[in-house]
Amino acid sequence: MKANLHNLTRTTRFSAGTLLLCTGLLAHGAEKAPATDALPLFESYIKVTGQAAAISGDKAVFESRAKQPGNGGAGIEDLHIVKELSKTTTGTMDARALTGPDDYLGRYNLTKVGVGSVDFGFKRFRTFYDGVGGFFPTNNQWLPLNDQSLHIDRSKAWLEAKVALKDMPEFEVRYTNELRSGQKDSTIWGDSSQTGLAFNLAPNPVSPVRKFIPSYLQVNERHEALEASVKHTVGKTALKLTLLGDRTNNNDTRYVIRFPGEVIPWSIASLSTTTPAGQIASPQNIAKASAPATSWNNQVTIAENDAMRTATNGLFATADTIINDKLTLRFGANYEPVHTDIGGGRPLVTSAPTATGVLPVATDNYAGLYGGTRVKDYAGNVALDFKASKTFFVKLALRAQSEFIRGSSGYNVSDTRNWFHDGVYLSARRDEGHGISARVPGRRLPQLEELYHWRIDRLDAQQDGLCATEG
Amino acid sequence: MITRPRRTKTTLIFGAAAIWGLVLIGCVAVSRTMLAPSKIAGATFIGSKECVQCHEDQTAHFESASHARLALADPKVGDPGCEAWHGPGSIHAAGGGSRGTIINPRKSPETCFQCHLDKRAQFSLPNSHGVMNGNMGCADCHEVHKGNAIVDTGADLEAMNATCTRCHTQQKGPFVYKHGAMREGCVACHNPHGTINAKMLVARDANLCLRCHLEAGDPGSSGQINANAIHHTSENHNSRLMQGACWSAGCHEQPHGSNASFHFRN
Repeated sequence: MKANLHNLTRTTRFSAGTLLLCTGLLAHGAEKAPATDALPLFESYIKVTGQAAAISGDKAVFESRAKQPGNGGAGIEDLHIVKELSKTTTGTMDARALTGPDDYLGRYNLTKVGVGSVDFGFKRFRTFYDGVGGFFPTNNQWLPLNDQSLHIDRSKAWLEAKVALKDMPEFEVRYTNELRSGQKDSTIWGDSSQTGLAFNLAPNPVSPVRKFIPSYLQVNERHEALEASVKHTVGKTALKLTLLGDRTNNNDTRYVIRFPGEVIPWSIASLSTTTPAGQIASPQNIAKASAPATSWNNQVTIAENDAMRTATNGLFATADTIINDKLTLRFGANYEPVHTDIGGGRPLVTSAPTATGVLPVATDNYAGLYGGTRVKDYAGNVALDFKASKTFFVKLALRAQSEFIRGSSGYNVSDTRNWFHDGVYLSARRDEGHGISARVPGRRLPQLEELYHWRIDRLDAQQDGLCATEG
Repeated sequence: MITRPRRTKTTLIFGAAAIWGLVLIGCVAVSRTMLAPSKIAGATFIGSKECVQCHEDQTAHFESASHARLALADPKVGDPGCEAWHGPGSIHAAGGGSRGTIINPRKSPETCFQCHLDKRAQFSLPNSHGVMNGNMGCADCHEVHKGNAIVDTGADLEAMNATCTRCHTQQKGPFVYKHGAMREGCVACHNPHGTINAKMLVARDANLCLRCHLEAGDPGSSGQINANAIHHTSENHNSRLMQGACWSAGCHEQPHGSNASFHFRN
């Protein structure tokens, strides 16, 4: 009996061992499979592709999750052409053109060894959004967004030139122009009273209002940057000076609906005689004062326009000195003034009940936002890299920054009260940081980083606001 | 009396083979190789000195890079060098740098995912940057050839949030009324690799704001969040917190900063 058991276990171990050995050898063989694509062996090539999706659920959710269009697409996935123009000059072209995801690329690079290069191109792709708002499970409420095509197209064009002659300073100029346009979802969800909740749940004053109505954002943004740099090595010191001109021009609008489909019955509003002190009676206020609490909401549509133009100029300088094989000393400094102009408004349109029916009424809005911000930012750092051994590296660094900000804004408010607001906000901030970090790249020693990091952030700010009421 | 079976030579051989098989299966099943250099069929390691001849810009300051501290499992590579990430470079060097003979992590994040496997999972979440579909690459945000891979760590010269605001200019400002959270960094509220929440927020509702703005509750109350619980205000937020996120309609709609309202309303 004992022998039988022994034989049985031995046979089982033999079978299991053989099986595992075979599986292991197969797995080991699979690991050795070539990791690279065979196509790139060609110097020049073209890849053509097509795709389609069978969607059983929500198309917008698929597009957002998969980052691909629900209708599919086709075109050139990758085009690469290399041409040797001479022994030292090479021209390279890359391209992509896919309909559906609106994914396009065109790039050309011309490089001459020992002289420099020119690189320019255009790139564009699309991102998708599903526009789902909040979810309120009590009443199983999930309100869909209006029929909007939610996607943002992002495009970028660039031109870069580089001159790198032997033993001469190296010059580089780069211009980029980036655009973002389209519509995307927003988490600034609107309100609804259609939640199924009772108005008061004792003992807490629970309101039935919940914010889960989807909204969307119209985006129209441009970002241009011109960067020029010169790099040169003098002895053991590598110097680099960079000039930056950066411009943004953004004009975004958020569309929000609050209490969609809700309106106070005119019959209740018409019975009210209440007029709040100091205010001109409006149908909405009268109705609110007299209607049952559960009817205190009217539909409001909002278009929040937020415009900003920013001009940034920067001057950056770095100096890296190799003292010896073990020590490198690094200096860095920058100066960056920023100038911003703002604009925008927030028109609200309420559905107000009247004797002749529900009418749209502009209320409680502001327009003509004006003002801007001025910033002066100074920063500098010094670092010492110490490579003590092949497996031990220590970096000691100090950083200091001063940032001065002055901002002001004003706008007009033109509801039934007709009041005017003008505010000025001034602040000056001084930001100082000190850090010591050590890195240990060895196999045996523990890996350490950021042994010490200390930052002081002081904010000296003052606010001066003016709010005036006009008749 | 029961005697234990003898540990014969055959038992030991097959037992060892079984363990070896399990190890191999384990290594393949997780689909990653810990700190092992990338592979290119037919190519061999030649060392980073060959790379310097053509790619000086990328190699000159690599000793200061975060990744320079990695230790590699394959002794053939020696110090962590270019070939640890770009694969063995013998074919690439022999071909004069011909395309397709070296691994370019800018084209695919798989090289980075060999170690940063958690990031692959985050990029697969519903709200994430477009790395998995090729619209972006890891190197668009992380500097891998010099300095800190994450900007504004230690004592870098670069401004905080500079990585994010290169593209997200609308959130950069400067605003007339700036939200102090911006000085904590974009990552205080967003996980740029991806989250389950809209806009890659680390929390989907008022709990995001309360991570900073929650103070001790009033001991005399019923324990509910009350007027004293919200930092920087004397207003009672009881019912408002129940309505939705702090930044929803009619409230603090400009969490990055506002040009119209000190309370970050639009």
